[in-house]
Amino acid sequence: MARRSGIRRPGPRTVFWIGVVGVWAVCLAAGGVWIRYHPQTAPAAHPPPVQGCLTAAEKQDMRGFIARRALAVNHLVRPDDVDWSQPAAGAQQDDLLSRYVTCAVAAGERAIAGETAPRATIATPSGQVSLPFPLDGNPAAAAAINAGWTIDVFNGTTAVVRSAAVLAVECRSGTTVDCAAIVAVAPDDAPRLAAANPSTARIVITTKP
Amino acid sequence: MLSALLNSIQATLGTRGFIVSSVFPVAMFAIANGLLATRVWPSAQDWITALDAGDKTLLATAGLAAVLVASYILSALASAILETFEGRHWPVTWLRGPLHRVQLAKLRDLERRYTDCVIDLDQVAVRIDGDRRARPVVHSWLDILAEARRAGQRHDPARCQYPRDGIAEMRPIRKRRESGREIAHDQLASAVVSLLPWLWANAADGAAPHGSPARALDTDYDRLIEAMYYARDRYQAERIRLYNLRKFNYPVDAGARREQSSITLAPTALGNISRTMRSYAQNYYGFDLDVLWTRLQNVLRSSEPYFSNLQDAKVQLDFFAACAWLAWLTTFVWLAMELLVVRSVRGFIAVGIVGPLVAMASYALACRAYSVFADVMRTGVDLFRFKVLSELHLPLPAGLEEERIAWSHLANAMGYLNLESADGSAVSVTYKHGA
Repeated sequence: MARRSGIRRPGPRTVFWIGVVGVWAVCLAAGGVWIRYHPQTAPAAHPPPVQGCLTAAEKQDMRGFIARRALAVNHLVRPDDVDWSQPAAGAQQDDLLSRYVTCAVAAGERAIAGETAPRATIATPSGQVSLPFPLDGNPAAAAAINAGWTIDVFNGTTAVVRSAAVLAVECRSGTTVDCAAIVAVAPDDAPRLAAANPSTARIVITTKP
Repeated sequence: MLSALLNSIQATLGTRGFIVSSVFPVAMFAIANGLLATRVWPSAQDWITALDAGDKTLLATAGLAAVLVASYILSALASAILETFEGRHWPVTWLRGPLHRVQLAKLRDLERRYTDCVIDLDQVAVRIDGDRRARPVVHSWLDILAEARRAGQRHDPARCQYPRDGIAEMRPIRKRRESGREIAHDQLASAVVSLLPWLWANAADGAAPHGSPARALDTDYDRLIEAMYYARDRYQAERIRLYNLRKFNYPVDAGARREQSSITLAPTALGNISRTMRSYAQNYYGFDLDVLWTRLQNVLRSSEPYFSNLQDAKVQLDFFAACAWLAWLTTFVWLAMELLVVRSVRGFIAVGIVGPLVAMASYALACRAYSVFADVMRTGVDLFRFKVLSELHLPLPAGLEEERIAWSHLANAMGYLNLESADGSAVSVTYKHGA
């Protein structure tokens, strides 16, 4: 037990494990390189965006789903926004879900894949500023509000801002969590809203599209 | 063969065994795979969220049914999985050569450490007690030190010259003793040789003031003697640990022996632990577990507490073996998915590192569970083998030699339909019917 020899040659056990770990590492490295040179081809699911906004009649046979409610520009499409049971022209959920509407859609009208985008295009109204307000402290509001709505933000009983227009709701890429509402407010209200604590602030929805 | 037969223990377990050893692992890996899938494809989570209550109930029911069916298949495959880990089926058999070499190296290393430990223990024990019959005579360290201490008492303790912080040779001994490590014979010998002149020339005094040289000399004298006893006990404990490790993890010695045996080294740790059950019964009693297991199992059931212990150990073993197998399966499936479908370098590397770690950890736990199970089995052979003879209306043997012959004859007659023993004599089985 206490015998100590000088420098020993590695035994079969060490050689075996070094071999196994080495081969495994080489396989992983080879796989990694192969993936790097064979990246996933972009899914052809999303058709090119259409020029301008189409009428309801023009969208009749296009790839999409019927909207259950009115969808404003920059509306983040959520599961209950459209009727998934009636796809048109082989539409898939991925065509619309978690994407942003680029043209307003009336309730009952077809929302088409070509009128959606992966990111919201924020256009701040003149005389106002836009800033994000995290919705983590308001899970109910986070699940409900969307572009086109107006909201009041309260700190306790004190109003921080009133009638702020929601320009878009942005969430962590590919998910429906870690969302923030991009709101347009008067320049005077912006510092107050920026300083408000999102986890304690209360959001009251005032109007819907 | 024995692994397949052992599965009959689990068959008698009923629902509890099925749930723990099959449903739990499948459910665990189903959840883990589901979480991985929703991470890779977030739209799947959204799709589930979009389902209405009725569809969600249907999906949950279908998932539960799938888990139950997979669990049933896993339960039926339990013995095949265990045999694969024991090195009997591919893909493990493809690596039989290198794996066998590793097992043999581990066994040789264990035997070398055991031999070294025995030598060290012998050296320390002999030097503590002395050996007057040895040529040259080995004097006891205790006697030598006591003699030197007595001689030193002629001097005045107040004029003791011993260093207050002790001699250099005592420092490693003190350190090793405090940290619970072994103390080599050479270190003790060196300390004895260094301390002797100090004891001869100075008076050690345990009653001297704290920090005085006489007190320091007395402390080191006591400490050295205590360290000798500690070193002996430490080597003894290590010797027993290594012996048990060798006997309970390997069915044979590294070197083959003159006696004929059908038991050899397996290519995997699990395979070797499995074979220790057979080798123990065979080497100690001549009891062929392959042939007589079903008869023994019948008798084991007569003791409810023992059989319950055996079943619990088997359930644990099956659980960890299933986890190891599912971990390997999950790893290879996800590696293929990452390579061909998802194509994420980070995900591919993460699966390639985490998967084998989980699988190896599960395999190590399966080995531990198998050690426990094998120990319970060996106890079963010890305690219940005579009941097998009674149940078969055979007389109990008078001694160990007679017992070995009796089991050998019985295994020949019952297992191999061979009525002639190895030395050419006829197999003799005489019944003894009760009153």
